[in-house]
Amino acid sequence: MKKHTQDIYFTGYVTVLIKGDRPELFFNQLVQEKVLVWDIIKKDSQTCEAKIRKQDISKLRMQRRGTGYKIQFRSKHGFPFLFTALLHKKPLLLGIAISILSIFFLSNTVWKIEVRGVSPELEHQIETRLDEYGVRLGAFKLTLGAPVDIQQRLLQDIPDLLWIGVQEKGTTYSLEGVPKTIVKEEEQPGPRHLVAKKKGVIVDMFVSEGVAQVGVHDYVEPGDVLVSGLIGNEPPPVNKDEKDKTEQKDTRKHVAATGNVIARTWYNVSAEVPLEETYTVLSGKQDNKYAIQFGDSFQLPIWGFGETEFKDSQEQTSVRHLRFLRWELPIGMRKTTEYERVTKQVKRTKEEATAQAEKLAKQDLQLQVGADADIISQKILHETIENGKVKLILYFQVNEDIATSQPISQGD
Amino acid sequence: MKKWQQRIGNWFTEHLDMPADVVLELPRITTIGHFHAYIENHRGLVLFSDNELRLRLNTGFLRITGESFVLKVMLPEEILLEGKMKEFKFIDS
Repeated sequence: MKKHTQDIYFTGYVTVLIKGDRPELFFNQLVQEKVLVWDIIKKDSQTCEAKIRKQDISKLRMQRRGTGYKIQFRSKHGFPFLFTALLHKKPLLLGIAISILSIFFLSNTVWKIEVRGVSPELEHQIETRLDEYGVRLGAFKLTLGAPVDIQQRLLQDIPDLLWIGVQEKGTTYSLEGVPKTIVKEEEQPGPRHLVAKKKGVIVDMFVSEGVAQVGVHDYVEPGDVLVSGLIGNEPPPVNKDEKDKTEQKDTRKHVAATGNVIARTWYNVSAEVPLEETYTVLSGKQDNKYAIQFGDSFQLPIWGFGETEFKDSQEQTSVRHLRFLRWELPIGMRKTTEYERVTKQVKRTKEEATAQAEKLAKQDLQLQVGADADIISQKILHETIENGKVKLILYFQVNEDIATSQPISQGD
Repeated sequence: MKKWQQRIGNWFTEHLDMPADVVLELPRITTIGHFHAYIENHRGLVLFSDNELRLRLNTGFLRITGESFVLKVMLPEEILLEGKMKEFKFIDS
């Protein structure tokens, strides 16, 4: 019996009154039609009270037809009725809706921004930047970028930051920064020489400590000592015979040689530039589309319809999920940005290509020798056109610091 | 024909220990104390009131009298009666 009535609350049931002559006989008919009837009570000789399931009401009406019995519905029970009753209570419904909405809203709001691991000044700087990006207390999180984007922008905008971790913990943004520490000069370098790292002709020298071993216009090879870290007279070479007789001590003082030795060096650089070239660039035009995403695949566009007018484009999408309390809902905002891509075709004359190649080669070299070095002159050694490409071999003269330190071993 | 069936049925119940209600299509009445009565294999409700329930059986009627009767479950061939029962009576038709 329990089996029949256990889940009845969820499907709903009603109490009915059957009126008529010998009303109990009506139930015989009902049970033949597989209508579940229970809790039958005889009220008086003309009335019976019984309970039936909500879905059997139509069957009950069908059976009643032509019998002369009268049906009265007394009370409704169960969830479906409760639900419909609830639907009629507008203020309650409104209240529930408002509360769910506010929980929604509050779950998607930034409540706290934590910045750790940085000095107060840097913290202030980070907070100012975050404010610029819209990441501030009370901001709606859907409109903000992903943590990775925030991280990248922060790193780009604040040069003092070495690294910053941006974590989104529910309604809290937790940032952990590592500031760049300016590394101080090595304390007191040990005794050392300055030696050449490249071959070249010295053009200028400035020695602040140590003894210069070469002069201007001298040609040096890599490894040649430029500035010695040993000050004082060189001891005379020890004679084999007098070895035990006089044991002369090396009286020279050891210092850390410092200074700049600028030398003229030369390089051969080859560069290639095609006469005809096609490449694609982003024109800067973009088109944003917004859609509400349900689950993984279903999308409902809400802004930006239709195909873009761009012939060629590159697409970037990001999805921000709605949150409810601490759960991430399968509903989210999907932003698709289409960037227009333009294919450009460049045709160069031989002269243009040559100029371009020279420029490229120079840039290349500057990277190689460092920003401090000066490129003095350049000369085209060889120029060929092969397979639609201009190939250059260039000769450069550069003034650069060729000194590098070499510690003096003080072993023994 | 009916008699013959019954005789085979009787033989089955006596010699093979098969339940009589299944073999002979007789009603099975289970009561728990005086307040629950479970009647299976009936052939329809004839009368029901606060103090009387009458059911049609294969052979005749069953009349239960008592007080404050409620039919807790009603299925085509089963009935669960609740109330204070006093008397069970088989009436031959």
